[in-house]
Amino acid sequence: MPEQSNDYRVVVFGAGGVGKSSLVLRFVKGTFRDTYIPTVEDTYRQVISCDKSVCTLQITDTTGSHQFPAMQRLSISKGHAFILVYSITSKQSLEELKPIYQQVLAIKGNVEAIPIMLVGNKSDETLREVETKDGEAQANQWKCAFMETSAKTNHNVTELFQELLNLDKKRNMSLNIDGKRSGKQSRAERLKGKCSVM
Amino acid sequence: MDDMSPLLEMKPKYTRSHPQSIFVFIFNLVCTYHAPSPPGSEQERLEYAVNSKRRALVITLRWANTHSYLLQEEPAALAFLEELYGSLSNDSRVLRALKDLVPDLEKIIKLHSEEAKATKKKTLLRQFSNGEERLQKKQPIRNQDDILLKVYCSDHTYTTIRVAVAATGREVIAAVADKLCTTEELVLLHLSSAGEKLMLKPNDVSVFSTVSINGRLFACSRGQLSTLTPHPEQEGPTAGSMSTFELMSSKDLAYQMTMYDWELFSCVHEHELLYHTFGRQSFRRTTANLDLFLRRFNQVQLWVVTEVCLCGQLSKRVQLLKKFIKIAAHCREFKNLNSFFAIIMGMSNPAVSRLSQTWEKLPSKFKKFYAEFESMMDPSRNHRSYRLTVTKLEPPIIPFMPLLLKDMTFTHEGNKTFIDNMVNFEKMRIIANTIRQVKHCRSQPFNPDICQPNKNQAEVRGYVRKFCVIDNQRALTQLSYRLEPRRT
Repeated sequence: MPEQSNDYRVVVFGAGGVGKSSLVLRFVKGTFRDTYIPTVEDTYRQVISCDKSVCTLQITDTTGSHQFPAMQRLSISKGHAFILVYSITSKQSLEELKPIYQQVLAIKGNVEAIPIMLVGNKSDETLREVETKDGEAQANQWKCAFMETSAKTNHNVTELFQELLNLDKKRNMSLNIDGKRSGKQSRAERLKGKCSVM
Repeated sequence: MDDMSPLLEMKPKYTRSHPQSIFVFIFNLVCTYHAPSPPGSEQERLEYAVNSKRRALVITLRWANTHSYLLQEEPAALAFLEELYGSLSNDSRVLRALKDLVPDLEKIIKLHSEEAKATKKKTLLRQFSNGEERLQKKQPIRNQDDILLKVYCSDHTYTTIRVAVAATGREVIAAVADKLCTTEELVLLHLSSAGEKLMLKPNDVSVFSTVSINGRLFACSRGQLSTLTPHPEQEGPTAGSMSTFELMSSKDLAYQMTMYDWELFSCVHEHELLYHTFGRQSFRRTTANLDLFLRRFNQVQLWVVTEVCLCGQLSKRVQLLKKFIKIAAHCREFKNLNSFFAIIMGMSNPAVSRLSQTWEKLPSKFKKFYAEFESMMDPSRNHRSYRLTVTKLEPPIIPFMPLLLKDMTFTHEGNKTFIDNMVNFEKMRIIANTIRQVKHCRSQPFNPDICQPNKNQAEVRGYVRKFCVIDNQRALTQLSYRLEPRRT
């Protein structure tokens, strides 16, 4: 299989119903739907700039149920960066990320060089079960970055992807094709106070 | 009467509207079973009753055995069997001559009601992908199962949808449109690695099962049709796998290929041959198991061509030809005629057969073997050579499936189903004959002890189930010309 070398592959993991697809759809298409369709595996493409040339960001949206361990292993081994999503309304969903993180660790070996973002989604919800500091603590332990988002209100969604790309020190990537720092990105800079990058 | 059972259910008038056919069939059986005795002595009346009931029961048992798991898709059939069992339990107290049939019927009912309960939970299948699922033992794909399909878009992203195995093209498109949140009118097509587009009709059933080896399902708007290009991974491998399998013994490879073929062949329901011949749209039934088995034939054939065409060194290519002839010989020994033919047909593909420098270097012993094998493929006198070979073999046999299907297709297309509004039973008998051949081939279970396995069985097993091939004939021919350019 010919490898498409200028693809940067991001894989989104998390328990069922935490909003993985919603985050991706909000980012790629700018839409949000209230109905829930369980995902099996979908991919999306977005053109970004990487080291001053154009490349494709390929986002793989995975299933939240654990029926397909083989597919999970394959996406981890092919992925460059990972987004681990839980819902702030469910402590259980954060728990369910642990075996996934272990799996990434086992397949990738040294995770410190790999961009990983822990994401607490549904930050618009009021019935919170996971405090922001609990999420931060978990990210601290895993030596990864952390952010809270809401796909519904479009809070921190673009920032999440830009931040993830910034974490990759081997490449210089930006969501803007012209490579100039736009207003959006400087907003991401300003938001850095809210998101802790370890 | 006994002989009529497979024919009764094949009356196309009935099968075309399947739900009705089963009711007509059941009604006939119930009438026969409960037929009132004509006036006569008590003895005569009893004898008549026993005879009609036995007749109905014998046909029912044969019918249930032929349908096997398909019965579970017909609630009416299960209800009928249970009702018949009730009547039989009562009657057998008076009519002792019916007693011997009670356990047979009981066994069938028990099997189906238990299985029907167990299979209520839908299974997910990705049999048509290249994933690790291939390593699992094959189970028959049933109409009520769900299948996961990867459908590609024009930008080569894909979405995975989950649909029923018997889903139509229309249902697949609806699921894709829903996933993509689009209101645009989408078309569903099959895109081969060579870029050929085949539009899938909205009423096609089980659209996924005929996807070619490296083909993919695509969905796009009509406007995007002209810009569609195959996904790069459809091209297939760029390097051969000879270094992997030259270390495996030819016998082990043939054995594992035979095990896999046997699994696939066992999953094919005899009715799938009928659906295939008469057109599965009219039955709304899948032929997925048959398609998988046929697909394997193509895969083995392409594996041979791909490996030869990706082997740059002349001496290595000679080794490859020798290896394939040896594997074919072992397949024949294991009575696996499907893979045997696939290998020989792969070697006779123009991209391989034109490599005269390679064939020249092949030892004459191997040339003789190959000539003998190839003569079995001789199509003259309606494949007489092959047919004679098969009749000499004892089951279990894995038959050369494409020929059986060709026979059925010719029978179907050359003979009218109805003559003067009456069923052409002669035609049905000829078709039943072909199905009987399939039945005969697997009337004995496959004996896994025919080969003493070496230590690396798991590795060999994994390898033969995941052949990576190039399925674009033009690409293969180009590679072939690069290996041995045309002589001027």
